[in-house]
Parts: sequence; C-alpha cells; structure tokens
Amino acid sequence: MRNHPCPGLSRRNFLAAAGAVSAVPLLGAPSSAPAAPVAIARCPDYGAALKPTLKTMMDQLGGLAKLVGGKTVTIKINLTGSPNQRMGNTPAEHAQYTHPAVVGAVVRLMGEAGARRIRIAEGCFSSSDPLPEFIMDVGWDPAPLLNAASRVEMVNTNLLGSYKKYARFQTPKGGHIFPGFDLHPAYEECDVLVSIAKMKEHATCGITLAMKNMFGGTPLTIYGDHAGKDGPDENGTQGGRGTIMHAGARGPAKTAPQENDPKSSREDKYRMPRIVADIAAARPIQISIIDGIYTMAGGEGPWNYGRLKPMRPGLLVAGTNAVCTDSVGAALMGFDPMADRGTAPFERCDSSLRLAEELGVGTRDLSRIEIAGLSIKEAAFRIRA
Amino acid sequence: MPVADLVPIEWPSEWQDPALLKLLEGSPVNCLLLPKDAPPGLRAAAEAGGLACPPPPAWKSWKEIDWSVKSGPVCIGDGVWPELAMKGADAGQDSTGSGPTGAPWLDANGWLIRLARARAAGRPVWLRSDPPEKSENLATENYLLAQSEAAAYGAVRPLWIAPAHARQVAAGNPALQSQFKRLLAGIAWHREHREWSQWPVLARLVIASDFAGPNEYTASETLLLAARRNLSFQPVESARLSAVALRGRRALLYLDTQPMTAATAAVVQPFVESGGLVLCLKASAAALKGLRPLAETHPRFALHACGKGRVAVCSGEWDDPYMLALDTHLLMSRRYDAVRLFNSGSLSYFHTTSPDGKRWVVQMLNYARRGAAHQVSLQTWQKVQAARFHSPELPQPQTLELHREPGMQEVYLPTFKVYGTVELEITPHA
Repeated sequence: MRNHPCPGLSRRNFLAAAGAVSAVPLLGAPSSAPAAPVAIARCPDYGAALKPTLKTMMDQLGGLAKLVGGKTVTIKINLTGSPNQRMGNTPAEHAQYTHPAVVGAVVRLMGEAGARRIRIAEGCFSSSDPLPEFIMDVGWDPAPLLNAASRVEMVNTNLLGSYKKYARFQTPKGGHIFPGFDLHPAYEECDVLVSIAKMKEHATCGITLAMKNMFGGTPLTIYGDHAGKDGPDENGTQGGRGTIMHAGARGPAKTAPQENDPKSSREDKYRMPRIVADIAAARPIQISIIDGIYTMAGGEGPWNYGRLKPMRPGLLVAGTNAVCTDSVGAALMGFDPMADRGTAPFERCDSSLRLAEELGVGTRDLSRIEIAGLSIKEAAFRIRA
Repeated sequence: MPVADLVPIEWPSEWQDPALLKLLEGSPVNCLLLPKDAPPGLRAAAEAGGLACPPPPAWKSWKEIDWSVKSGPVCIGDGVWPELAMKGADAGQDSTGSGPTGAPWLDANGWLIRLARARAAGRPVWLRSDPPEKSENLATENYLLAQSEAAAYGAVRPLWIAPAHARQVAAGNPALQSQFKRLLAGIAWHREHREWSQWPVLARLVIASDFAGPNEYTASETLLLAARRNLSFQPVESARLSAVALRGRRALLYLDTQPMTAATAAVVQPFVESGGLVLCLKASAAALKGLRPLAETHPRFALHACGKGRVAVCSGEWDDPYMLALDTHLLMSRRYDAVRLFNSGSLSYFHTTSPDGKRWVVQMLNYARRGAAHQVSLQTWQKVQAARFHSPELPQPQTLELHREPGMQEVYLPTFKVYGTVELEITPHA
C-alpha cells in the first residue's frame, strides 16, 4: 500500500503529489513505478454474494472506511456506445456495460464506510442527457443506485451543467500525446476517483479495463466529434470521440491542452493506448474495480466485427493502483501484461500498460504486485478460448 | 359501401383489359381508383363484380385540407414514399442519411397520419405520395412497407404498382403475379387486424397546437422528430384541448406562439396542479397562475413549480424542433416510455392499448426492409403475463418467452423484414 497515490491524502495534497511526479524524466526506469495490492474474487452472478464479496475485497485492500470515510467519491462507470445497442439479445450489462448491481453494491459499501458524497459519472455516448435518463434508456431504473447511500448524484460529464468551467489536469512528464486534459469538475472535486470497468478486449487498445474506462470521461464538448473549435461547445455532444482522439484529424477545443506533437502518428492503435495512459496519469484512479462476472469476448461492444460472444468468467478484480489492477486483469484474461505490440492482446497496438508505467502510474510487473484472495493461476481463464 | 370499408387500388393505366380484374379475386381490394384513360368496359365490369369505382379523390397537401368538412375521407396527397432515406448520388449509392444522433433517417408518414386522424374527427384518412424514383427497382417489401405503415397508424393507402411491374403482371409474369398476390395477402392480413390501430394510443404526452400559420412548421417538425425518437404522443388541436384529452397524461407540450386562451388555461391549470408537466412559451405561461421558480436549471427552459406539477417555460422562441422533442422527452422522463426496443436502428413503432386495458400492441415497421442485423428485444416495466408476435410474414402468431428481471420484462423478437407486432397480455391490477 505504499508508493502509489494514497486515497487517504486530501484532494489538494493528492493532486500536488501527483504533480510532483511530473518532474521525473519520461524515460525513467519502469521498475520504479509504484506497486499496490490487487484483490481477486470469484462471484458467480450479480445476486446476493456480490456485496459481501466486494466488501471482503475492499478489506483485503485495507478497508473501505480508510479509503473513503468522510470523502467525496466520484465513480466512473462504463456505458460505452449507444444504450439501445446490444450484442444480439444479450443485455448491455451482461456484455459491454458495467453491471448496475456492481455499481449499486459499491455505492452501498461506500455509504456504509462513511463516504460523504458519491457521484456516479459517465460521459455518455453521443448524448447530453442527464445520466439518470441515459440509464433509463439502457433499460435500468436509476432509483436503486441513487438510493443506495445518502447524497448520491449522477452526472453526465460531457457537459458543464451548472458549472462555469472545466477542470484542468496536467499529465505527469508531459504526457505521450496530451500534456493535460480538461475534464468535468466532478473529477476535481472528489477525494477518491473510482473506476468501475468491464473486463473486455478492445479493438484499438487490445484490452479495456480500469484505465481505458476513463477515456469516456473526456467531455464530448471538447474532445467529441462535434466539439467546439475555439472552446467547449455545450451543444456539441453528438457522436463519439473518433475524430479528435482516435484519428487525430483535428485538435480538441483550443481552450484545452493541445497535442504535444501534431505530426506524430495518426494511427489509432498508436494514439489510443497513449491517450489512455495520459489520462490515467493526469487524473489517477484511487480505486479500480473490474466487473468480470459476465462480459463479452472479441471486443468492447456489439459494434465490433468478428468473434463476439457473451462470456461468464465470474470474476471481480479490485485494486488501488490502476496499472497494477489492469495488469492483473489482463493476466486473468489469459494475456501477459508485459507483452507489447505484436503480442496478444496487443497484436496491432501499443500497450497502454507499458505506456502508463512509463508515466509512473504503476507497475505491470506481476512479480511486484501482491495478490489477495484468489491467485491469478486459480482464477485465470482464456477470453479468446 | 361505407367509405370506412373501402380498400382501394390505383388501377394501373397499363391494365386496360377487364379480364385483369381477376387479379383481385379473393382479395380485400374492393375499390378501383380508375385512371382517366380507363376503357368504359373496365368500369362496367368492375361494378358488375361488386367493386366500387368512385370519382377520383381530391388529393390535397395536408396543409390545405379543410378539417371542418364532416364526411368523406381526408385525402392527403403529399405523403412520402416510406423508406430508409438515402443520401444524394454524390454520397455514394449505398450510404444512408442520418439525423442528429447518427440514427438512420427515415422517410415516414406515421406522424402525419397521427395528426390527420386527430384532426379528422373520425373521418377515414387516405394517404398517397409521389412515386419513388426508379420505381422499377421496387421490391415487394417496398410495397408492403407502404401498405403496412398506413395500416399500422390507421390510414388507408391505395395500392399502387409501378408501371413496369404492372405491365409484367398483366403480361402474366409468374414471379410478378406471385409477388402481387403476396401484396394482396399482406393487405388482407392488416384488414383482419385493423382494430389495433383504432385502439387508444398509449401516450403520456399531448402535443397541442393549431398546426397552422406561424405554428405549422414547428408543430409538424416536432411531431416528426418526436415520432423518430419513438416518443409516444397524442396530437390535439389547441382549441379542442380538454380535461378528457389530458386525462392520464404526464405532459403537455403547448406549441402555439399565441397566448393560451383563458378557456384553455382553465383546462391546463388543474392538469399541472395535480402533477402534470407543461412546456410552453412565455406568452402562454402568463395565463397560468401560481408559478414558483425552481432552483433546478435547464439550458433552454426556466423551470417553475405549480401545485404538484411543473411548468417549463421556453427561454426564447421555439427554434429547433429536434431539441424541442428531445427536451420534452427528457423533462417528462423516459420513465414514462411504455416500452423500449433494443437494436431498433431503422425500426419505428407505435403502441396502442385495448379499450379494456388488458392488451397492449406494439406495431413495428422495419424501414430497412430486411432482417435486423442483430435481434431486436422489447422491454417493458409493465407486468405482463403473456406475449405473442404477429406478422404477415409468419403463418401463425408465435408465443414469445418472457424474460423476467427485477422491475422489468423482456421478449426477444423473431427476425422480420417489414412488419411485426408484439401483443402483450397485461397482468391484471399490476
């Protein structure tokens, strides 16, 4: 539990500490990146076993009260793509979306652990809808989530709402692609950022876990296909993030930090892993939770082509360092987290794990990561089986 | 024969031989709209066979219809040929147009039929459109979509056959004759199920306007875009707005730029005070009493409490019907959507309820005219005890398995090319 951004720090001290890391040269020794424990548990479904399993995992990480007691928490969930799109008849929460039961259990546990205020956040695809309305479009009832603890709110982080301006986050070491990001104030006003991801492969990044989940936190008004040119366009929330982020066809709104090198490769499989690493470094995640109970294989959503299929690994993963947690998640999926371009799951892209490690976010070296609960060997499966 | 029972065909000019009347035998088509050059013997033979041959309908633009007329069909001549809208030739032959959300754009008539039926006060609504370009390329499914769309929304679309196809049918081309029979069978199927379209619409939203003059553009575009979002609504002429029209509704979108009259305000006031939502312009909001500003903010509306309800007052003029339809949907809340479809890309749907409330039907039109790429699921928060799928593409209705989750139920639909209906049997007292 040392050498990683500590959720016990105040927000101000934490951000200051994160900023101090930026003095480290970009090509610093990866092995010096912090390590933190990761808990692995089996959970067969989203029923009664879910909450106690998550509680045990949090206890294995040091106890949730210590992590969130008296704190403001922002929970980034994963609702990638259109809420009406499914892989066949498979509900989105059994394939591409974070299951609401996991979100509800986490909110409940955090409330019981004394969290002062909890915000559930997502930058919904092509949407300025209030998050509860987007959630209803998925077919879920937002009420149980909003009532899972006291002072629970939901926010679509694509647009400012009642805020006056976006919050600026600098990428340590200058970043691979972006030296910083402008994000919704919900990511600044929280003491603890939680990323609840789905355990999936990804067409552009090889894998999508806790770090890649945060890509959806970039506001469409600044980074979306119809983002403003000179500044955020609060009406420009149509489409996704393909134009600016994936393809680099233009820069984000000019008020936001621009690319370090506009002449760098425009290949999405070069850019996206770097952007994912940059975001993870600019706004570190304090608690990473990966929903691998039900998921899908073959891609991150039903829009991918190829061997898509639902899967039921029955796993939960949690940790306090996103690179460590994602590296364990990758290992559980049957991949070597030390792999890089040319080797699964990064056959055609660079490794966001390595790139984030280079930025000092955390280590992907499993030998340095303490595992709680099940061992990787006990829990591993092959998502490409 | 009562006008409501007429099933018309625009008799092709290419069909000069009265013997071709045999093509209609056994079909529900009972009315010939004859071309000017029809041979005299054709009319005589048709009438001798019991077919009606009325004078040509007075087709008009929907904007020019005299809604005060009390009898005869309302004949709207400026519908659109229903299809997935294609971009211009410069965009490539296979590309489709799309709306602001990226969802495929549909050339559809549902909103117009809904409006016409609301204003026609019980008169039958007939609809036609100019033929599509390259009509010789139309497939049977194109014709079936045109017929199914009109039937689903409760209108009559005289059967029309492209000249090239009419010639081949007349020449005895077996494939074309078979397709023509399939088309007639589709019309017969819809006639057998026409009660569904006559049932009350399952809508929590009333859209009120005079739909004319300065209000015509915003009102018609808002209906069109609400329909494309599959937001269920009931259009009502503002002068006819009544407590009955608002009974059981959650929201009223009052579109007219002219201030709400005192008589209308007297109807709206108790609706909002008892918990309803009203969206209107400032001029109309002034007619309502007891508005208290809410702390909640909205980029395009000033929100007020009024009794147990809310009044959302547009901050300026109505300037974007797309945003207006979206804002209306979200301010009312998707919570009141009776059903939800997944993988519904180019589907449009329309739901009604039996007068006794025991059955819901959701009629779905596939404007892509081919099987959905992914299976379509239908979800409802209403408790149901059984579900069936009906389609003229199936020999028999199909029982659907109910997939129950906490607080909701789903059915998975079979693939269909053009038209299908889900019938839900509602659990009593649920």
